[in-house]
Amino acid sequence: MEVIETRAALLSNYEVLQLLSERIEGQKQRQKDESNIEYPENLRTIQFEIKTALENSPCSTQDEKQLADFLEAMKTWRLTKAEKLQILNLRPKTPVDLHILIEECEERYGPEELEQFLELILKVLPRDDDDVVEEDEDIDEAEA
Amino acid sequence: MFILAVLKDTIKIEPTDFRKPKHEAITDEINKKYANKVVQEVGLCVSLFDILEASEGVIHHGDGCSYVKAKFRMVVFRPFIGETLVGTIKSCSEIGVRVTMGFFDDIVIPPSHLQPGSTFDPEERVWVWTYEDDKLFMDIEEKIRFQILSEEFTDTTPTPTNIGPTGRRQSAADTTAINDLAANSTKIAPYSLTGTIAEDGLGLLSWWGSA
Repeated sequence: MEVIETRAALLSNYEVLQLLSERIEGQKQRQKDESNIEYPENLRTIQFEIKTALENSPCSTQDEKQLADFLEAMKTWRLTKAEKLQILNLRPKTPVDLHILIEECEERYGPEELEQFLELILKVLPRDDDDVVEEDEDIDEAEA
Repeated sequence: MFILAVLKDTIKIEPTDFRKPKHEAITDEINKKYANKVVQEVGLCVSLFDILEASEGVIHHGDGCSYVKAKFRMVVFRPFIGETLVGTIKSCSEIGVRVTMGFFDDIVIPPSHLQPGSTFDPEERVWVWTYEDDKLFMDIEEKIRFQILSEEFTDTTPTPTNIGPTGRRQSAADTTAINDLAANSTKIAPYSLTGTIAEDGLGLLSWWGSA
């Protein structure tokens, strides 16, 4: 074995989840067509574990349009590729979240800019389970 | 957190797989060999992304297998230094907090990189962060946000020194015994990450109201 390039490209969690879901479907289909095809356990384990982990992360509700909108919206914010990738993967909701994702955040952006930025993220990467629902869940758990 | 790595390898296709289309046979072999395995200085391999080049298959005398030289891209788990990740606390001990991503759990946050003022409660076996008289427990199964501080690759392939004494010829029983011992002794992870939560915004998600 020979390593040609370690970091040829970065993948977002969304891309990995899409890829694995497609692969798992494809494998099931092939097994249906030819019943004697077996997939090795190591492959099934890692596919399943990563898919489960990513389905519980913000990327589970993203789609291609959201990604395109997100990249378009990020153009004016002078962020590095790594910063954009982490914002996409983790989808920050509070200023504290942003401070750990953006380097030297305070020097680069004012508090108002950060508020605008968070609103922008909520708009381009919408999720149904924002704030209200989550608070309800917390109460339910506490009562249980 | 995930990257693409370009690798080159000679892939062996068994005669029973000759009925498969070539690209499927190569894909299956690569996944069988690499999925869920750590490649030194590359990371934890997940799955084949695509095949860039593949030579004609060559059959050597001795076995009926076809050998194909292939250049391909793998999806690899390899967070960069300084990347922020969200995981789950797997366990706490004197050496720090162990975090799992669900598919990878060789991540440790040592005591020196917990929030300042954290102490270990030996009875409850949890780390506690005392913040302005509040005791914040780092319970198992809690979601935790951390940053990658460093990574370490350890070559765990057998070397002559850890195979055992070489003074006399080894019997089969000796070899099994040594293998058992090796399996029982503490396993060294081939790829491990050290994290930090010693910064505002890092630590349990519930601490920062972003659960």
